[in-house]
Amino acid sequence: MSLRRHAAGLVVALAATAAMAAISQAPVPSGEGTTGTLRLAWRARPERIERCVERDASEVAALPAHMRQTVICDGFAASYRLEVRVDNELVVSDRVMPGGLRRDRPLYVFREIDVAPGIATVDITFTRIEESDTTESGRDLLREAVPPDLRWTADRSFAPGQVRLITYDPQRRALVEITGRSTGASANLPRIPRRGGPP
Amino acid sequence: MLQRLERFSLAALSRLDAWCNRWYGARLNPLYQSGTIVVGLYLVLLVTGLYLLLFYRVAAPWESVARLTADAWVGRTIRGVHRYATGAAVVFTLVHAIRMFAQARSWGARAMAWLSGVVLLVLLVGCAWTGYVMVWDVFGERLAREAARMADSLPFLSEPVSRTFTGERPVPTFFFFVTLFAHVAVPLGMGVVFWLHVRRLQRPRLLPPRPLLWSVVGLLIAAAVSLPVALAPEADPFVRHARIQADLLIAPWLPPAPRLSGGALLGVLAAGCVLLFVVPLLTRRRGARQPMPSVVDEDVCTGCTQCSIDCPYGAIEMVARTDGRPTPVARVDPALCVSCGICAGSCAPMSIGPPGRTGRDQLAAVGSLLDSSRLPPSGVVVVGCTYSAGAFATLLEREGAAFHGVDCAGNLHTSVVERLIRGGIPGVLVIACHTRDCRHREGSRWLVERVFHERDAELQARVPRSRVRVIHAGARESARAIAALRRFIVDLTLIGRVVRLDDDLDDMAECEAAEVNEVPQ
Ligand code: HEM
Ligand code: SF4
Ligand code: SF4
Repeated sequence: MSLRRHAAGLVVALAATAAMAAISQAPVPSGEGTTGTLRLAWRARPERIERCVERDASEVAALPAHMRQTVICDGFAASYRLEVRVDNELVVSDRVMPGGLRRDRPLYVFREIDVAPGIATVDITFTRIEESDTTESGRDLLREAVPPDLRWTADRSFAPGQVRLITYDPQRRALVEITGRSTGASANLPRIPRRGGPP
Repeated sequence: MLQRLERFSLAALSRLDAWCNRWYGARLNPLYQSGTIVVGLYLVLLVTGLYLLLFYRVAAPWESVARLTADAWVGRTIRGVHRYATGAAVVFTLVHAIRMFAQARSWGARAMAWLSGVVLLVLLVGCAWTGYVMVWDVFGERLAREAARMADSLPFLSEPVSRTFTGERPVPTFFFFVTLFAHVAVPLGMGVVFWLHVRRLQRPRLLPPRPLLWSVVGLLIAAAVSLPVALAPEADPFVRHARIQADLLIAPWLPPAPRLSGGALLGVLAAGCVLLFVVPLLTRRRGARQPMPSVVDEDVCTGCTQCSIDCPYGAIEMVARTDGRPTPVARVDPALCVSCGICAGSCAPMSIGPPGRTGRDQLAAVGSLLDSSRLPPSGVVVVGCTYSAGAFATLLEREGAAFHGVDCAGNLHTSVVERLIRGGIPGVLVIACHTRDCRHREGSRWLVERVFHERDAELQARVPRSRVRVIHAGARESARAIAALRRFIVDLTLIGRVVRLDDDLDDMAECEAAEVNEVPQ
């Protein structure tokens, strides 16, 4: 084999290696990051809705001793309607069901909404769908559940690539915004997530 | 459709092969060695990966990689070699898979190798995926998010995995621990699957020739030093980058991914895998096109075991006879036989081979060739593998040679060469594929050993070697083959052999009269 062919082989090998190295870290459009993002993410316990019937004394007496209960309750976990408006335009209207096949798990919300860069009025509501006559004061359990009506509304600026996160704070029982400090392109945000209250 | 694609990819591959043979020589042609190069790269990944593991911290993934990258000489170079070896492994795995597909080695007895190969490819990409996630830069985070999006589209997860990366809380250390575990466990799993991949093969070649292996390692080091891998910004759940440095060899689907839902993306990737898995069904030959497995004529078999040694696929077992003779007898397992015919070339008494291609069948075929045709004008019969020389047989005939095709050079029984010479043919030129390009793995190798190194069934010593020549050429190397043919014709003329019934033939005739003829006619 001639020296010229060896040299050509070396050039091809070097070019192929360089191409492979370039492809393995090619700056490509990521398909995101050109708009702002409104992210809704939370996990919450849905309210349990119980329908109770009271038995009269004769009905109770007819039952075996170990089944004699005067109030019989049957319950299910409530579902919620999530609505998001950006600049008064309805962009999300979803029914959020409790998790699990038997609807016995907490509910999860995870939505990402593109928002054009600039200032936008964001309005989020999270409302129980089923009616319930159980009063909050009466039941401890209810205190752990998400309230029947949640709302978060504010004017916010969105930079391209900026993500604003709205979540549910179970301590305050309210929707809150979490911001983070970022490196590089958006060093304008604080890095360690901290919680902020509703505006 | 798929078989048309096979032919198209074979044509493209043959052209690339011919170029690489010019540049690197057939022995070091990286395209011929794609599978073994991947094994070499796997070892490089293991060594460099162990080094990187010493510095990786699950509690501070990006920072630990940043610290390593700051060490410009050792740390960054080893990281670069690890990274580029991954890319090279993906490229060579694809070349290897395309080669197997193009050469119709994806079905029948080879289906297991194909299927385990697909699993290896999936594991390789999966391993690279976890490796990138471990760095936890913007690309790694994106891969993690895409995986989570796909997982969330499955109906059985009650809590969306995507919530891990929303920024509600820092990504738990446990996540990086699990990713690291997978990144280490997957290569171990690949070892097991690789064992399955080559289990069926006899004498599998696992590593490329050393000069090639070290050249690949050298190129990786050169790339790591001259094109150092960058470290992208740390992942931040509150920032999305419009452009990211992505490894398109691992995630070519990444740029258009946001336009697809998690379920659709998962569906596309799963469909790709399913398509690869069903290739053996789609490419298998049926009916008359299905080559028949080898059969043994047990009455003639002497139990010498040569065929079971030479069979590249371990399809022949020596078993005890039932007719009371003391020697064992060869038995072919049709489920393992790929019908390469190499056993036919290995059997001196010609008792084995695929129907129509045993030594006897080959002798009968050249017998009729000798009877029917006059001496080829150049005095040379070219016996060529149909996969390579078959592509330019007419060009050889235009040079005045007669062409006799065989399905694999290893299928050729050496007594065919002897029969041709004894039949008055002045010279026999055998054109075999390049040794590492033999579709049946060892055909070219065994042929050379049988003609020149007395491997059974060897070309008898009485056949003058000056009248026999073996060359290797690919389907796109007709010029090389024609040059060799012309040179052979000149050499035959120079040594005064292009005369019918010359002294050698007289000698041979005498020799034969004195000996028991070992070659059944
Ligand atoms: C990590 C990836 C892989 C490695 C390291 C690898 C390596 C190898 C090696 C060393 C051989 C034996 C070569 C010989 O001795 O002749 C082989 C054979 C084979 N490989 Fe792979 N391979 C890989 C992936 C694949 C893939 C993705 C496919 C196809 C989808 C594939 C299909 C085959 C087939 C069909 C054979 C058998 C060839 C025959 O029986 O003639 N391999 N592979
Ligand atoms: S090479 Fe021929 S004779 Fe020897 S064991 Fe095989 S079939 Fe029998
Ligand atoms: S044809 Fe012969 S050598 Fe080839 S696989 Fe079948 S038994 Fe083995």
